[in-house]
Amino acid sequence: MTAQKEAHQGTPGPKKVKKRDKSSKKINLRLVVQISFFALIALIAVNHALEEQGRAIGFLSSASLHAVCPFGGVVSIYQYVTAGTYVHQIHESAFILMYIVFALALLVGPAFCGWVCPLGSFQEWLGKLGRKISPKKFNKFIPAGTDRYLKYLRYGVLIWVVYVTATSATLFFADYDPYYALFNFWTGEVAVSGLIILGVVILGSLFVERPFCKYACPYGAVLGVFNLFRVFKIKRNISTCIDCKACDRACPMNIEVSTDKIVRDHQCISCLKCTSEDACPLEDTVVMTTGKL
Amino acid sequence: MKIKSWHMGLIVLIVIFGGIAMTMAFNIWNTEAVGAAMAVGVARAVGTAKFL
Repeated sequence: MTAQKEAHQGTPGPKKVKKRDKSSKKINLRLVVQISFFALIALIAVNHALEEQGRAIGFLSSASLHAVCPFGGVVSIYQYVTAGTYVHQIHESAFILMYIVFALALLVGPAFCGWVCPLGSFQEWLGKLGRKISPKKFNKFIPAGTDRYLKYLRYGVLIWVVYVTATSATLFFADYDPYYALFNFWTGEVAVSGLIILGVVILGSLFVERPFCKYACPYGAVLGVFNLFRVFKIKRNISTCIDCKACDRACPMNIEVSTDKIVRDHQCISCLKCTSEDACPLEDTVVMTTGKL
Repeated sequence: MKIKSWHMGLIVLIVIFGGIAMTMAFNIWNTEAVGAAMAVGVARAVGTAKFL
């Protein structure tokens, strides 16, 4: 309400500030897409388990989760380049998905993280529960200064995973991967370490928004680099911005959108929560665009 | 050009499923082309064998 009042009282720029119409109810398309991909991956995982018992659903893919994870392509690059083969358990499909997700990231940034990744969606849904448990402290448990440095931890994880996979030629990260554990915990194929990390991620999601994405996801680290040169960028119109910081509060990845003209932070997941369509109270102030604002 | 959430939803779905469909189509086309080339090769080999 304060932000809207301020918007009427006058803004620094010459442009007229228009309040965003909040009256019309919109379908949360992102949630629909997230649920669809989560259900699809869960069905594929269940069907894979059923196939081993000879009871697979015919029309549905029964591929293993490694075949439908684009990160499998990333960890296989070294072996593919040097030996022309894939790491054990990785299929050509993982490579194809990797190229597709890279193309998507080049266009709109890491939308895979914000819109598709089932583990990211799962953490986000748990976060909604966490927000109800501690509405004021949720996502603020880790001090901003520590958070700033902890966010680079995932690049360390990425280097470790790529190096060990390249030298051992095995998909060792499956033993630590909470995504694999989430969709296979009932099969007995998951290592105890994977289940422990999944437990930590579930618990952490009740206090911090997307903890695995923020601090440990090696694939998020790769896709985060695309934020530097993606075609469609999130831009803030400084001439209409009233500095209400609604965009900062809305960002699940703790990015200070209000301090930049163009968001290039490696943590952005293109969820569009900060934009004038969602958090920002003013029209055309925070938008994803190619052009100038 | 501004991207709204429904644009983004469409882009995500089109790029992912379109990419998968294109790859599948390319694979089928490639398999058929290889199959046809192999058939020609086999026919030639059979023809040569008959001639001999």
